[in-house]
Amino acid sequence: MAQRVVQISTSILYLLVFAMPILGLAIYGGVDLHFTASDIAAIKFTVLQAILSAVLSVAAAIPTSRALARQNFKGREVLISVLSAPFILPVIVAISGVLLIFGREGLFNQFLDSLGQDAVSIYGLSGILLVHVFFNLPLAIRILLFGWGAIPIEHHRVARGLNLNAWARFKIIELPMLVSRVPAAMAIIFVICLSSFAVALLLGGGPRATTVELAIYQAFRFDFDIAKAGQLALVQAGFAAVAIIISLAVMKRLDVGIGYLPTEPMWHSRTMRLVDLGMISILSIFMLAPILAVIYRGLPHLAELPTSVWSAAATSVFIALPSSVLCILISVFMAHRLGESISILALSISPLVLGVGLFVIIRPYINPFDVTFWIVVLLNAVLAVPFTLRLILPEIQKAQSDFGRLSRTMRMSVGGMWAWVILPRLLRPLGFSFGLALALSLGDLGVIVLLGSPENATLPYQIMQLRTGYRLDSAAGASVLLLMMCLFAIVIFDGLGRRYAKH
Amino acid sequence: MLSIKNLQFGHGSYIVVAENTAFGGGVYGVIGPSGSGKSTFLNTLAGFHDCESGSATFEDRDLLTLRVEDRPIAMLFQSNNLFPHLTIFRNVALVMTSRRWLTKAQQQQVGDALDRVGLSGFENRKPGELSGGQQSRAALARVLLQKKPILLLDEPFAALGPAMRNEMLDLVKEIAQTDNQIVLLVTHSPDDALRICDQTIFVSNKRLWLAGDTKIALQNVPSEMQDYFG
Repeated sequence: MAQRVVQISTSILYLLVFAMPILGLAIYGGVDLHFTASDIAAIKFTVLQAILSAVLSVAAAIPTSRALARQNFKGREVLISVLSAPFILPVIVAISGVLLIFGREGLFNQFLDSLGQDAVSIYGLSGILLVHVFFNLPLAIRILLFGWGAIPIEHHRVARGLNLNAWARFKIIELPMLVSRVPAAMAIIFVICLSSFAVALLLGGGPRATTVELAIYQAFRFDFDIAKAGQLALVQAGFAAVAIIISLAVMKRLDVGIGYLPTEPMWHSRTMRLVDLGMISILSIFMLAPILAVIYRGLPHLAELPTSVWSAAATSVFIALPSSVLCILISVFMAHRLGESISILALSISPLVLGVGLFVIIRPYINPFDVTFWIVVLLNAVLAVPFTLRLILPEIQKAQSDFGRLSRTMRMSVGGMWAWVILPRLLRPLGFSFGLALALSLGDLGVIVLLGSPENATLPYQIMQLRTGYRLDSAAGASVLLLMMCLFAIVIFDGLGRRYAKH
Repeated sequence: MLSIKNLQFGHGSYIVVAENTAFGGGVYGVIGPSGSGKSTFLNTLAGFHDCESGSATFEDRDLLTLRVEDRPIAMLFQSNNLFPHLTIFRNVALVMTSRRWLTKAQQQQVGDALDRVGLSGFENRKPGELSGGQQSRAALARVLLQKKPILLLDEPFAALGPAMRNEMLDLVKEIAQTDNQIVLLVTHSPDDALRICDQTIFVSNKRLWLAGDTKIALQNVPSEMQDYFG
């Protein structure tokens, strides 16, 4: 009972963090539907780039995930987990890496040049799509990999016994899986890309490549036209509403993971294997080259970073620590199915919308720029909850289903149950979740861009400043520092959790 | 005295009708095919399953309206009877208190319970460091300390080897006699029943009834259960 009360009140508070800013925007600005031509262009571009990102990511995921599902080779599991790295990769680091490979002076253009071809430009739509595919391809692969793995091996054997040709086998066995999973994978990626901000900020801009998020930022930061920013934020909130409906429809029946990966000798003919392994190699290069390029470029400059970078790194840590503590507390107090559903909000509503909304509702009482630190702490915490909750909830449910009856027959109190049974069994996911929340918060480049200033710059914000000032050596060095901080956060706390886990 | 009246329980369309019965102190075997409703019967009494209709009383107090923790019942499950991350001492001590520090008297009681099941000296071990039989003993120490007049055993010794299982059954019998408990033991083994059960309850084909003295009951197995005994 007491437990239920805590869960429900935490869920309500969590809901309010999202509802209040949006209500504030609607009340402050009113719902005004007069859009300028550039607003309309931003709305159209947002939808267009999200659709294209979804289609391209999934299109690339189909053959690569199939190859990964079929071929058994040394290090397959390692490769599959390394492919998930972009999830914790700070967006500024990823963009730096993609630019090092595909930018004007990048390896790819050097290669084209050596062939006598014209260079391609990565700024604008093509660059945004490239980075979106980089971030979302691993997710699409995970979704489809589970699908390939879920096809019973017997189906393949029966089809062979029936002497069906390759096309018939594909149509009967594999196509139904794709028909059920491809739309879901596209929907999720579409939803994620709708609220893309940092990527558009760094690679887009101008009348032809501005997303709504970017337009909010420009109205707020350049024109300080808060009414305009608020109106656009409401448009983005409308996108979020669509996104939530899509997520609710799709996510319930979507298992993501490696699943069981059967491999069958018939897939190991020489040509099959060559084609598949070629595909896997291209995929690995595409995913790993940008990260390796950042490390190669930045490592030599790590020792000579300006003090502004170190103080930004310290600011990032001071924000990330309380933010992650708050995130874990919310996740534990909200560990309940209702909480899990509510946390979908955080996947759909963008930090910029929340930032502008919070700004509007607290401005009558307090200067928002004085509390930037706490706004960033709060938003980073609530935005990481959907991920940490997903790690923590199943373990709590398992502890309760394994030992709930026993604890009740022993007349254990709710407090006793949590202290002696649930928390000790939860240390492992808690450690990993804390590291994950730290990494996400350290890499965040959202609301800080809106409210940040040189005094409270975080490390990603500082890297962005260095890049715009063309101090690319320092930017590359600082990117390596940020990457290392994120990695250490996860490795250290995951390690601590494992070490003290009691089983 | 535990009595059940017009008790019906089950899942979906499979509803078991229990014969009106009064159980006094002693060990009762609960025997029947898989899925016949043995575990559901125990879970109904313990409060983990809601019955369809009827009543169960202990010393004329209604059982079924009580909360699980308030019922005069201790139960051992098929598995997960001990918290694997806690020491044996803590596993048993949690019956009395969730506090970290126990009073001298409480420590004494835990020690006595462990002593009675032959686990003195194992206080600081974790369940994983004990043999299957020792784990069962620790779980028994726990229910001993719960001091409940009714003990429900849902095949807790099924995973043990024959010698160990007999040892545990004898221990249950001894405890039941000393504390004058009502013990219901679900088992698939006629040998187990013959070893310690004074009387036997059959559950089969949507019926549950007290078949009387175990030896006699097992010699006159009803025709519908012939297949089960083979």
